[in-house]
Amino acid sequence: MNKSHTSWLRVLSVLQAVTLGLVVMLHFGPDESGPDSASNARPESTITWLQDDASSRVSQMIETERLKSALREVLNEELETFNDGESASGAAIQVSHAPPGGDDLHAGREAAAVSNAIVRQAISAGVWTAEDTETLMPHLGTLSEAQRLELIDQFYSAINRQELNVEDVPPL
Amino acid sequence: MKPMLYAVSILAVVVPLAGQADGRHIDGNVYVSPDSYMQGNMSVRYNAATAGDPYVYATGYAGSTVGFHGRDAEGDYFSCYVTTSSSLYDAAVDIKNNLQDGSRLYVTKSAGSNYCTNVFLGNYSYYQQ
Repeated sequence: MNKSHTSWLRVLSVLQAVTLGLVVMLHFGPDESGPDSASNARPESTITWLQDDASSRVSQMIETERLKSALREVLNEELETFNDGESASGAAIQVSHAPPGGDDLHAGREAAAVSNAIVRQAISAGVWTAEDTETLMPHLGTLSEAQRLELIDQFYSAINRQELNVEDVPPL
Repeated sequence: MKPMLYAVSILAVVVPLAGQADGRHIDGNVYVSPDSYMQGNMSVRYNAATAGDPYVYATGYAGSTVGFHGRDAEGDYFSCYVTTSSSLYDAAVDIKNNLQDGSRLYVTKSAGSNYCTNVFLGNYSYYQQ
């Protein structure tokens, strides 16, 4: 780390302290109504409190982002599992259902992920079979209107590109 | 002997009348111009002379998107849908519900899109089975 960089850090630290001090002074400035224990709180402890609060918020944000990233990884791994291996042979896809009484939103997202994977698999194979319909149907009832429309769009697009031989008709 | 001759003579008159088809009749068919339009008759189901395995159908969830589909004798597919927000929606639902023997369905869409731009239905006596 060179000297100029160190100098910038010092400048930023000073500016930060000055800014916090100004905030404290404006918020906890001299009370004209008279002595008051709350308004006469020591600025040093207030600065510490502000710093601690900001620090904990940043920590929470970082933790939230880590959780989101981990969830994304898990979902991508699950989707890859449906697209790899057995998809080439056209075997039925094993599905884990949402637990009874589970969150509807979670169930909808899972059903959408599975349904889209089934359609993608059929498009890759170039044919939609009766088995595909049978595999898809348990999940269609859980989809929201928007999720079903997304599925329909994917399915119809493949049909109109003449990329899908429809041997059986799914309820789409 | 007389009853038998009597029965045969009646049959000789009745049977030809029963087999006679009055009025115009045209076999149903389906034609698809890929990514453009489709026209099809429900009576294609009964056209024994057609090549391939053509069909036409319409779908839709209650209160939701309506779809029109078909495959022609050459194996070309067509699908398009009408959403609830489309100005065509109410009529598209009626058309979907009224497809029957004798119906001729004509549907268009824009290239690269899955939205139906026109949906036409006619019911013809001569397209019936």
